[in-house]
Amino acid sequence: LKGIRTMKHLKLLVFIPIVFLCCISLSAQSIAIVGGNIVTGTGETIDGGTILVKNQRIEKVGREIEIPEGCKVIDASGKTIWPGRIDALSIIGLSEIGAVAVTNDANEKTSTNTAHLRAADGINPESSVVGVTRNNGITTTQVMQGRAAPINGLTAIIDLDGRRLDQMIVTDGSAIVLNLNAMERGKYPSTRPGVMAFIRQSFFDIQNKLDKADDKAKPSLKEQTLAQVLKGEISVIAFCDANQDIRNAITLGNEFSLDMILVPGRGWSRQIEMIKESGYPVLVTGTFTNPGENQTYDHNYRMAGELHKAGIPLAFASCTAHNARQMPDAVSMSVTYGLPYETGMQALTLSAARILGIEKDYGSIEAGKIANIAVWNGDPLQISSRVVNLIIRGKEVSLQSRQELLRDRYKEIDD
Amino acid sequence: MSLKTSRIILSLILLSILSIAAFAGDLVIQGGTVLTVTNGVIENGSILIKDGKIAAIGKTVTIPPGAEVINADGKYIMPGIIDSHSHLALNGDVNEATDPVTSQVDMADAIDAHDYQIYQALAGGVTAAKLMHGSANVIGGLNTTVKLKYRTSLEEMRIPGVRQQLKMALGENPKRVYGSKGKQPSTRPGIFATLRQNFLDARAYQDKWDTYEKKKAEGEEVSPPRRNLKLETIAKTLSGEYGIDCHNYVHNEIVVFLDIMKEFNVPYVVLSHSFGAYKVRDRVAESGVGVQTHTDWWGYKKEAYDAIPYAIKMMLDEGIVVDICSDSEDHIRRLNREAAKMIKYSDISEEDALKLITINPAKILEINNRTGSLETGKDADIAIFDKHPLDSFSKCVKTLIEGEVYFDINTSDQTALN
Repeated sequence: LKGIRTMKHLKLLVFIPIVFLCCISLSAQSIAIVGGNIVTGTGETIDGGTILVKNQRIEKVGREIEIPEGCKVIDASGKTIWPGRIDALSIIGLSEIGAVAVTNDANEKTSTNTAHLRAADGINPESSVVGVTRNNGITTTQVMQGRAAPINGLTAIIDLDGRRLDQMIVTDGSAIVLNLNAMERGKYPSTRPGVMAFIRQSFFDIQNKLDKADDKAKPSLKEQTLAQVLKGEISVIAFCDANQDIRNAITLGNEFSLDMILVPGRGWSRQIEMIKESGYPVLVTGTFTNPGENQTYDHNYRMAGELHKAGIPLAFASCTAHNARQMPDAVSMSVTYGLPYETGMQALTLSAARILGIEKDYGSIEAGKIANIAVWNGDPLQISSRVVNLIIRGKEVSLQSRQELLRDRYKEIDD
Repeated sequence: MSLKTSRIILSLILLSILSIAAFAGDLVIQGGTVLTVTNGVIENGSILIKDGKIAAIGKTVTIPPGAEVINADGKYIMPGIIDSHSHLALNGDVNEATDPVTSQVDMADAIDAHDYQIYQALAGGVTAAKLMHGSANVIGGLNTTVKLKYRTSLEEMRIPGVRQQLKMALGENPKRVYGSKGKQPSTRPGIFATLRQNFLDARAYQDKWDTYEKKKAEGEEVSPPRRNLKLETIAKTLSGEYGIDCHNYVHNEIVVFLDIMKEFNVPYVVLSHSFGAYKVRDRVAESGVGVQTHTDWWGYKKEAYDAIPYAIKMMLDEGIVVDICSDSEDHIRRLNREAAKMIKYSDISEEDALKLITINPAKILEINNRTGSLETGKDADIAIFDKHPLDSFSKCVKTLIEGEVYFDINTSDQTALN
């Protein structure tokens, strides 16, 4: 009898702390950001509003919101609050040190068609690039497997926090990357017509297979991916450089009814009309590419502004790992040279989410969306501003990246 | 000659004299916020420019009759930006990568004054740059500091009397370039052995010449030693006629390098990139060398993995002369934005941030007596911005070198072809 009682007590002793711990962890999930200037991303600004965050998501946003007991409060008075920024295309997690081959997992380079590869299979959640990038307010990115081949693998969209990939993944395999400019000397395809012929033939081969219902041969992984591309289940991100690359990409898009996103490159100014007519959205990269000899000094600074003026929806892409944190600098430059501020802001948030197909959960500070939120000490489009609090999937994350750790390690110099 | 003809000739002469006077005439930049960088900010200030130099600067200046006036109301006037590390206008002739030591090479021989990249840099408010040999060789060639006088000539661009700096390079680049050819150096010890050996050879070479000169002075019949351009350049570097600009990254190689500089008593040395310098900033400060670096580059190679954007401030706090340089035909166009990043990463003042792209690089290039700040007597190298240059939405609207406008946003439809 005594024994049973003890058991009961023991059970209680275990039970009570468990309940207690649960309460703590639940309350740790609730965060209220109060007093800041909330730029929601939908065009609305709430000065001195409150954002209530619970269970990864934004529960409430507005002026008169009661703060629940035990909720962690972040005082954002005098601060600016933005949705987490989105780098629409990067290789974050696939490259630790640029020149060290063993630390790089972007670009397979062994085949001209790597549609069967998945960026997600290479992403290192512990890459130091993750912490460095998010410190500049970037909380979500689409990681590409590569762009070296005419046909490249599947992208993965991730949030920039988590110890394991499954804690970071937003969508896995929603797009592949084509590169209309992936020519290699002395190897097929080595010219633009070669690249076009190669991509066309790859698509025709799949179409032939799809048409033959009696074909018993099981499709390879590569073929399965391309079949999904042709069915419009997987979208296509098309890298271009010269203006004829843009024309070629749009031609392919029309010919095979592809769900396409264009990365126009330097030839953008010659094809504005064609891009507009195609209806395809654009990922802006190369704002800081030096102009060609027949272009004015500000040619690429004006790219985003002029594409926007033509009514083309756009987001920005770093296409890199280590310099992803500098991607928003290109937005500031674009705003200086003609892109409306609000459009620039949305290009980094809601427009990017729309183009990536994740706007249901991402891109703005609205009730119900995933809580990716950055609190800034100034205007986030000013390069001199910095993030002071950062929330990813409802959790306040550390701003101590590898670089802050190094700074602190060498604060004092030993003799 | 009739009276009429001589009158016409006389008036023509007079006219031409007048027009010359107008050409070299006085210029006043009036109104606007003057960011002197060394003497604070003058709200609603004016600058008088005479013969390409700043003749007066202040709240008001006396406007000489006939002076041209640039109205800068609401604008920001700063010293022309200076880039201490650039490879532009060299037409790709950056690395004579055929031998680990090519000190016989002078980058002035590559400079193309018509290179469109110069105009692009002018559009970012840059007025002077050090055009450099690359980092393939342990000892590269002589760097040349120029004003960005687009479409003039090398002779016009060159700043007279400025000490050239001999480019050197440590670490991964020479290791890769020569290691891949199975040639020394393929390691850092290999690099330093190459460096020491060449310094010793240059010393011996100089001794030979000194002996010759001495004997000749004593009236002895002696034939001169063979002139060796390679060793002569290094010898002149050891004696201080040239400076050294050393490309380096990791902290341990910086310490070894500085020790060698001390051992050979090299008079003038600056460090390029130097991403590891913050870890040994006491040693760097003690050696008195300047550091030309970047704000937030990192991770593109192993030796750049520990680069941090806090390093510049840590070095400034140690008393080191630091600047932000471009090493890029892109970054040179937006060095003011690079300086703005310093405010993100530290509690640096706006003036100190601007110093990183003006007076500090001027000091490192040893041209601070004539440019790098807005002070009376200095060259009128000036950039005018429509907003504060550290504002991310600011644009350079005019760039002047020695009082002459080389970039004007109103005529910015210029390309390489017009």
